[in-house]
Amino acid sequence: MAETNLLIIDDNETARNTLSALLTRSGYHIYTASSGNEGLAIVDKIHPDVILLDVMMPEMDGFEVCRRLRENPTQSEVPIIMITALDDRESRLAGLAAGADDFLSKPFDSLELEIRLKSLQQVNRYHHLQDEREKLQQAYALLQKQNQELELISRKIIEVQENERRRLAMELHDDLGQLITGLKITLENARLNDNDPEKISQALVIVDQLLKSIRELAINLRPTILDDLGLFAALDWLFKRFTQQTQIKIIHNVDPLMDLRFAPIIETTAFRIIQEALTNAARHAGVNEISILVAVEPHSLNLSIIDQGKGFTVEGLSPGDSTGISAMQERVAWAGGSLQIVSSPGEGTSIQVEFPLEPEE
Amino acid sequence: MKIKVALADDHTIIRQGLNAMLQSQGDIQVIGEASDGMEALDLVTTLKPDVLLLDIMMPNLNGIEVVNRLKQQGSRTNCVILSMHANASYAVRALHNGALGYVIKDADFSEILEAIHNAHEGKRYLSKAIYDEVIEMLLEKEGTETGGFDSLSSREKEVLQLIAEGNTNNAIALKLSISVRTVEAHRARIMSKLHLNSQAELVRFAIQQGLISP
Repeated sequence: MAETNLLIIDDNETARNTLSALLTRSGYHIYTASSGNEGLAIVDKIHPDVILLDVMMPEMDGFEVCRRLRENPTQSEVPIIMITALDDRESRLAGLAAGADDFLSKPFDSLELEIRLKSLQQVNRYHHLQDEREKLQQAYALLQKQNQELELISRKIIEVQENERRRLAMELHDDLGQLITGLKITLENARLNDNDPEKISQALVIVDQLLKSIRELAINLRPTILDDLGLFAALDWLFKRFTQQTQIKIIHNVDPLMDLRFAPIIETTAFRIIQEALTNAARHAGVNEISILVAVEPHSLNLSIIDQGKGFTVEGLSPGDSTGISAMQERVAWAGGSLQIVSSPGEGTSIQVEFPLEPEE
Repeated sequence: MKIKVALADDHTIIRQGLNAMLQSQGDIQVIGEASDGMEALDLVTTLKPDVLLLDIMMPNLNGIEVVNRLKQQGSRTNCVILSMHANASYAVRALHNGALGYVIKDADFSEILEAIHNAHEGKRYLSKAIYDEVIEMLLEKEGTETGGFDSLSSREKEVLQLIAEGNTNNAIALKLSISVRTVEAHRARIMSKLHLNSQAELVRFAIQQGLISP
């Protein structure tokens, strides 16, 4: 264990010397100060483990020194023993009020001093442990809460993944599988009929349907336009398709020919967030118009998705809620951005997303 | 003289199919095939075909990038993009980068032939399925430069002025006694009509219109 640093603050030289002499034998590292100001200056430098403080000093008395020490956030915990006259009840009360931990009377008794120092350190250690325990308990509670949230989110992810697989399997089996079976039968028919041109034409029609289905399936998984041409062209495609499917008009400032690219994670996240927000608005908002702004500011890419529809109460949505707002928030955070939702019943919904942009190389 | 054509596509079966169908035309000769973008560049540099028919999605270098590099090198080979994307953004991007033709893969074979013949004569060709969409997109782009202040409603002009003066959405909502969401919707409509892409552009526009002083 490191040596204990002990600071003696006393204007009386004899008292300082006596105390030093009594304590060096017990293995303390002694610092001394002859006034309150000097004492406070030393405290800032050495951070003592315990302070012996005389009450009666010119200029700044021991109570004031004690108060100032307790006000200093880095030193407020240091144990302070005040040196008072024997049975000076008023001084002791004032000392307690100023924040002293214990008292010592003149003339000094070396045994008493040592015992008081030891017990004080034990008390101090106990306080310290209690503090630590409290902090640990708080940290534990926080961890538990975060764990529960994580568990909810991962359960949600698994659920979403499984649903997606089910959908894919169904489409592969029902849609594509049926078409290919039909194609096989038609070709077989053509072969049995001396390559009947009419049957081959029928086969070609099926092939066209097959192509269309596969393309649709692929584009639902990941629109390659996002990788090939970037966010603006991909959003333009998404908006046209969304309006076609839902009849909901989109007011936007996206120029599909804008030849500006961002980091892939930002492009993907921005696209998916807008896609999700549109789906939510179509499902819940009950509007025939949605506004979307994509603003390229000097250091950020900002998205606004606004509808004047039904709105909802933002508070009270838990992680893994059905509208997936916290999932959206997580997703934006992963891409280094932030997402804010303002909504209340009857007041519409506004989603603001900001992605910080790296300065261009 | 037959038209000398080179093909670039990473799928062998597509190259074979195209090759067979093109060779069966009396006036076309396929002089080479490439299976990725870099190969396509080499092929054009060494064989100097009249027309390069190429896919967009290829390993190493995509088709649009191939066309771009060829044009930068001053190549006299004319390029026709053969793409599975029936999407105007792709087509316009391809044309911007120097392609003469854009044909979608499931178009009639006659479209491919027409595109090759056109390209040989230095003329453009666009697949019928996306022709209208491309023109609309370019017209909309054209509108960007002209669509101006007059296209705004009087309420929108009012909101634009307040935004440019630095008012927040909340402040504007209070001043005009409308909801914040309505202000946001107005703002979106303004940015959309004026084709503005940032707050700075909006303020610049307001200064140009004399709504606020710089």
